[in-house]
Amino acid sequence: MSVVDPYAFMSPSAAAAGVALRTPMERSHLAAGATVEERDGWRIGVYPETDEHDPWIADVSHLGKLDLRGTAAELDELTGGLGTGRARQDGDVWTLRLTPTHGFVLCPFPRLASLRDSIIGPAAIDVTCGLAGLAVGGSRWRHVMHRSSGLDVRESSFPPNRCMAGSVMRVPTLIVNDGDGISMFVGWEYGEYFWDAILDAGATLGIAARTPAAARSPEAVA
Amino acid sequence: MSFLLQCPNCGRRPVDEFAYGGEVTVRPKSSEDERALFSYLYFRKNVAGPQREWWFHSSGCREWFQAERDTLSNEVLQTAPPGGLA
Amino acid sequence: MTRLAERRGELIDRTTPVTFAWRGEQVTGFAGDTIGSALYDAGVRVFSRSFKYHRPRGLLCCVGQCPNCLVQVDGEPAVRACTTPVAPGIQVDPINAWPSLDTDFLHAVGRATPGFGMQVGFYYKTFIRPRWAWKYYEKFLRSAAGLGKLDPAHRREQRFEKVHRHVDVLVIGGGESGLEAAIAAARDGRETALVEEGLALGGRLAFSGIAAAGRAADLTAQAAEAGVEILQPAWAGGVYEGNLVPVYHGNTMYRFRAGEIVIATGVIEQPLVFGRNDLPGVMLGSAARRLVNQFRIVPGEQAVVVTADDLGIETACDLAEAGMQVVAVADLREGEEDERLAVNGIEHLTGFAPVEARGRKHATGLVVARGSERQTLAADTVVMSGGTVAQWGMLVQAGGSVRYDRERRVYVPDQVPAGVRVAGEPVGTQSAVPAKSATARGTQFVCYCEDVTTKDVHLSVEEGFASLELSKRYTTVTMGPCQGKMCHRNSGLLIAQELGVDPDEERAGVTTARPPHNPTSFSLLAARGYEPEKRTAVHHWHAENGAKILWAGDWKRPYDYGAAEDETAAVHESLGLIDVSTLGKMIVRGPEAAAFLERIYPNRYGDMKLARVRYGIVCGDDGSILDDGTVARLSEDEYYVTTTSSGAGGMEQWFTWWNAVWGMDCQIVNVTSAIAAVNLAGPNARTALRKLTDFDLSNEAFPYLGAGHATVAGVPCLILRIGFVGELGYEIHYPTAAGEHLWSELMAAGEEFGVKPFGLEPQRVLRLEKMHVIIGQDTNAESQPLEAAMPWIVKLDKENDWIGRYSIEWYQRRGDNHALVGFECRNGAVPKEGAQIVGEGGMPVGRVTSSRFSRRLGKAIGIAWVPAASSEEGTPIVISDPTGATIPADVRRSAFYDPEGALLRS
Repeated sequence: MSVVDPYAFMSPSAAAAGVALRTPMERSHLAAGATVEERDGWRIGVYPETDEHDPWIADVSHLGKLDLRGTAAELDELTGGLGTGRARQDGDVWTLRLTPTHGFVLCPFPRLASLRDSIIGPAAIDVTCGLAGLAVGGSRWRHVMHRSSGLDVRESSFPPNRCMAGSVMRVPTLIVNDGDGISMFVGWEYGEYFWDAILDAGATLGIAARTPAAARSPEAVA
Repeated sequence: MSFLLQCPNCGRRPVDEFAYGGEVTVRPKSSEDERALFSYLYFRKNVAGPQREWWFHSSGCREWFQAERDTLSNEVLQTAPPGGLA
Repeated sequence: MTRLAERRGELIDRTTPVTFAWRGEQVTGFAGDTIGSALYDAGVRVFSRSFKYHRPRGLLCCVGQCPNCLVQVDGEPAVRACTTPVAPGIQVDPINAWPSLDTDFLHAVGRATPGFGMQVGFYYKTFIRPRWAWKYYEKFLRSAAGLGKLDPAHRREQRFEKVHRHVDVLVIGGGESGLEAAIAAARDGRETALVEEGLALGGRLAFSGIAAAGRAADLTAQAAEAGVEILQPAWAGGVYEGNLVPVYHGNTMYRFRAGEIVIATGVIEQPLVFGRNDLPGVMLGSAARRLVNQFRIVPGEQAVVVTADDLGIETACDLAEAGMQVVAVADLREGEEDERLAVNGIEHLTGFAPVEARGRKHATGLVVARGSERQTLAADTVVMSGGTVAQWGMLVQAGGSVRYDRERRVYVPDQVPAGVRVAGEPVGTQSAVPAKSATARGTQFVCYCEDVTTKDVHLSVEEGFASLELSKRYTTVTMGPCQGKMCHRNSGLLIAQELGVDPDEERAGVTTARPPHNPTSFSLLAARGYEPEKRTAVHHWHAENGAKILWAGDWKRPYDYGAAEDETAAVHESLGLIDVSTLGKMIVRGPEAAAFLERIYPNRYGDMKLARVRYGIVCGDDGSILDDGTVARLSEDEYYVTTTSSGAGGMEQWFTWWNAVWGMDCQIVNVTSAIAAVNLAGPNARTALRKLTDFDLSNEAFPYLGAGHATVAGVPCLILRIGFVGELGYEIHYPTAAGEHLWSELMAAGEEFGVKPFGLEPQRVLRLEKMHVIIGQDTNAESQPLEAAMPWIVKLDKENDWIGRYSIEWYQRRGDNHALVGFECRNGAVPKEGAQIVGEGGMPVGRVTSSRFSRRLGKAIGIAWVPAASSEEGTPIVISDPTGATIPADVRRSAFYDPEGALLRS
């Protein structure tokens, strides 16, 4: 086998230009009236930029994701001693430590390949397509979680810069509190179900979908 | 059943986040002693009281750990990574 | 509408009238009224008909703890009128009454036929014979049974929520003790929630006059200021393991997990047992005070109060102040006349016990007695204060226990589990309460819900149900909607008396109060239910292109695209494409990855060359086949493992478990979600695939069981040359996000070859023609590889130990009993899967696990378990089909189609 990277077949970043990368929620976006636009190879659901919604959700499945596996010492070294259940932001890269021997890296998709090459020590497996992502924000994101999960997401138990894995909408979910809200990651095959279920859970709270931050216009982000 | 289990990685979670892996058993070293083999395969102590058992955090970190649980009260006396029970 | 003057503590908003319908007629109350208070104010006295005897019943407790005011509201049965707020336009109707609330047929029957009284066991004893008459009885009983009507045509568009919450402290009960505990906890910086089922906070304070109402308001304000979250009106359904408490609030079920539970459920005032103690107009003292102080309604013209404690005295004073003529207070206690009564000019008859109420449809008075001295007191309202009992149901559910305190004649907490606290002192009756009246002529009710009388309890003990628990089950006392709130104490007293025990020395024990604490609708329990559904990345293409999509385990998968046989033919003759993204996929990596796989699988992987893929089965330690799949070697220390679709989660657990047991230097990563997989199969597979890749697909460069990294239509892929369906095939694994993209490219490339997408059903036929087994269909938990036609995969000469080895060694020593074989039917009939193989005398000796008609072969074929002695090629077997047909068949030991595998290797 002459290929250097044995996991190339898992890496969407190895796809040629012109390959349409879809998130699992594409049909939900279209059904909700969003348009689909291409960003960095991904087809992104773009919603009308109207009033800010509270709570809101956004499809962040296109984020680059690496699954880190190694010894506790290797992960200590790589994460700078990040504790279990902690998450740290360095610029636009998040590092998560789920267990002593298991972590994740989340980053903008275009940065993934070089970031992965730079990791020495633990295995860094590209699971960009393994985890569908959904961000929930607004001042009432916890109310959405109360209707979706039995996990304790109180400020006192799950403050910013924490991560955890648990059951949300009866699906194993990785959750990060980024300070503005949370990002949740579930198996790609659950993505569409999860999106629809969270929208339903937040229906009485007036939840609405919006364009993911990476694809929003600068004015809207500001 | 709604008791809480302390996952060594994730903390206290409701039992329905976990998969039960059965009693901690010791695997025989050969098939020579049929009685020992069949006892390992088909018999369980099924104690009424503290029992050492395997649990898998299927909705969470997806790692195995061991617990000591009182089967009469569902009180979880201790949990630890594999092999780490006191 | 004759309410008393406005006063502190009242719940009604006199500026907002609310009009609703009672039996079709307009009734107007105020906002803040309950249905019960508004109807009472409008002159309604009979609210329901009782469960068994259809006796008229009126307001008894006014706080949702008895069954007397259950009504039907907008089609919803069994709504408690006395705690349900009024709302404009609602339709309220009585239940369990026919033809009307005033003239009930079943009640008339009961009255007109003395001796026909439906005593305990009536149904069992009466309708058992003659047996042929049951079908007539049943019709009558069905129409007579139950409370309320569920109209099948009635549809409610309502949303029910399930909300999870975590708090440091959950206080159950918003009385004085509960409020104080909540305020203290919240001031201590702990997140605190309080649940109160009534309409007002403060418990007894809320209906005990102006000063008490002031204290209640003050505590309520303090709680709000301290940041206590108050849920009201809401009730806690029970206490479950892990301090889990379901709380029902409107259309929402909260699932509270509390660090600490404070049980402040307080006390319930008890009825007294005397003749006709169920007549409308007979009510609890607290009920009368609620009417007066919270709704400002005068219960009637004259009142007689019978009491076991001071609460009756306070009630009498309240009623006198409200302008009622209080005829007398009959006091079970001996002693001096009470000063408070004297001030109000109320006669205090100490040492008097109630005998029976007077009246037919409504109380007209009460007979009381002291020894042989009897007095008949005329009044339209009979108020009873039978003492109070603490509610310990929640404590017991939490794992605690109670014991009887003889001094105070009450049950008090004994064991209180960690994480639970009891707030407030247990309050109890100071005086002895008679179990019943010895001289009453009228029926004495112990249980209002199920119409259980003192006679029923007597009969049950006489018939041998001589304990509280047995009598409860026989008479159903404490088992009605109130769950013992109104009858627990009295039934215990009565059974003690029947058993000849002094109830004040030794009670007959307590029955277990089980959840739910209050009647709870199924819609609340069901709430929003979610069923996780797994979809492949090509799901929508399938759905949009005619696939018949079915559940397959947790996945949604195409069964076929409308023409299973054509799809099968396309694979045989030219080209087909199937989505196999559901396959489980794992990376096993690390210095000991090869050693790990050697221990997991019965066959070898350490000797495997790079860029190759090998079939493998996974066995349990008992030798049974758990799963099957393929293993490709990506590098020296890295393997790519596939499992069956349904086995993905289980195999991840299995692999990681043994890794945890062994502690080997390797890692297992489940990458099922990250990788889409399709199988391009058929004689034209190579030609079609060549159009999309530069990868050398020639048989020499990439032979059968090769594994190669390739770029196909711009997508990075791992191609496995394997052949589940029996034709030249390429199983292509690639990033899920490109799932639909590559699928569409492959379909386009295959168009010139007439490519067809194929579903699970055509795949089942194709693999059956190759005699490829499906684990879990052709095998079960007892199937081991030696018998399941796979001895070739078991490498007993491997130097290392592997899972299942010892059992399979044992099986080998024992020899085969059964064999998994193919069969070919002689007459073309297709037996059902599960049909039996029969031996001599028609005895079952085996079973069919798979069967189909193969159009390609023109034969009915299948796989079956047969006795080892009948497993030779060509052995005739007989299949007994469930349809009754007998199907002769012959055993086949090699694949029906391309037995040499030449096509796979071409």
